[in-house]
Amino acid sequence: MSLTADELDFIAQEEEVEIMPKFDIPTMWLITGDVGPFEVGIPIKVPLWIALQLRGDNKCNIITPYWLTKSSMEKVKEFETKSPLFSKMPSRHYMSVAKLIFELCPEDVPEADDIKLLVKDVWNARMSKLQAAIALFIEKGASWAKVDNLTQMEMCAIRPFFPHSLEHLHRFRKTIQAARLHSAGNASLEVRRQLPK
Amino acid sequence: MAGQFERMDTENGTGGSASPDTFGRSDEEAEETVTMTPRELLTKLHTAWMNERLAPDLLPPQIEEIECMLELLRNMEVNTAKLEKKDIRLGVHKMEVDRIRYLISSYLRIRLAKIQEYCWDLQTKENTRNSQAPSLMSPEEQKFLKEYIENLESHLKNMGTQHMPRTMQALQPQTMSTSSNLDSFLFLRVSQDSSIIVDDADGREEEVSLEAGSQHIIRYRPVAKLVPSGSVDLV
Repeated sequence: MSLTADELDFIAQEEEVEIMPKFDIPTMWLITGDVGPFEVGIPIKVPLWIALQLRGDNKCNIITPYWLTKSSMEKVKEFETKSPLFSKMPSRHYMSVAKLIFELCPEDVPEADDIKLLVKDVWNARMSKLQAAIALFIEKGASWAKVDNLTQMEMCAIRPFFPHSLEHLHRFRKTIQAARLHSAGNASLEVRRQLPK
Repeated sequence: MAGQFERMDTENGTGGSASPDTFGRSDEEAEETVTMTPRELLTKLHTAWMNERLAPDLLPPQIEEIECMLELLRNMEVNTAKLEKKDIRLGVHKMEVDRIRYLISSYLRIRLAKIQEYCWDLQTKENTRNSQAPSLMSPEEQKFLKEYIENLESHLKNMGTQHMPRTMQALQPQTMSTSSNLDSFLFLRVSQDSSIIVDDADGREEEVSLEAGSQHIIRYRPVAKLVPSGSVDLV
């Protein structure tokens, strides 16, 4: 089972970003928590879905998240390409957040085109690392693996194919094992216990 | 239902235009109830939705939480109705209500889809369940399961088996039944330190300690119990 692109966007919209409001209203009491007060020209943190909605109505400008700048994405890229492991991303949904902001208001982000390329580079670096890791995982015949710092969208990129393959491998191994026990002349009871249900 | 969860902040509603006791509770109830802010409630539902979405089997239902949230949403809608049409706040409140409604309906739909898929298996489980043990389904879902099976059986009978020779007319649910695949692999994030025993295909067992905050890809069977208890979240 995997998540759809829309579901990933939905989840990513819970991330917080800063906006520069163009209006004054007092604190709003939302179920998500309190948001506000909004004052013209005073930056304030809100969930991304509020930011996108207000930006859509041209009621605010989105302040680029600190990591979505050229210099900081360059650092992330450099670190990612040098490190053998997956490095911790500045946002758990870096890909979705960047995509949503670039779709709605690329003009709010300075050097947007360069940053887009950098984000894509980071994604590619991580995906090729992931493919190498998968190959190693399968070669070793491991039954579990730690995947710290892997983001949800990256998991979805290899889902459902990869988990499904692992499951098949698991079944094949179980069958081989059962057949081995059978040919070794073990009690039939033993064999039945080993067979996949 | 709403009384079971206490709203921490005293003021509420939409920018102060709501009456302060909308989410209030009486004092007698306070002593034995779970204290949870709407935000915590939402987080809990969000996790439950994600788990239900990614787990291969049916997880225990979160009926109370859902009813509570629906109550909050109803109050919110009553309160926002007082706002003027061109008020900026109206759009934000409406969006929030829509997002939470989507969350809840998606959650319930996933459950119904699972109930349809594993209907015979769930029926057997339900019939053999210890009367003390909580059901995997809410009363409404149990009703749905019963009706679904009845309809499915009568459909199969009308369209198929009644035209067969008499000796072949019996329906055998056990031959058609599918059950959840506990051997599927999935991704999880650990929220509480725990340790599990993972057995591989050759029957070797290995103890794996799950540290809070780490992420793993693993077969569902060894961690199945940790999902409803909240020690691990599926991602």
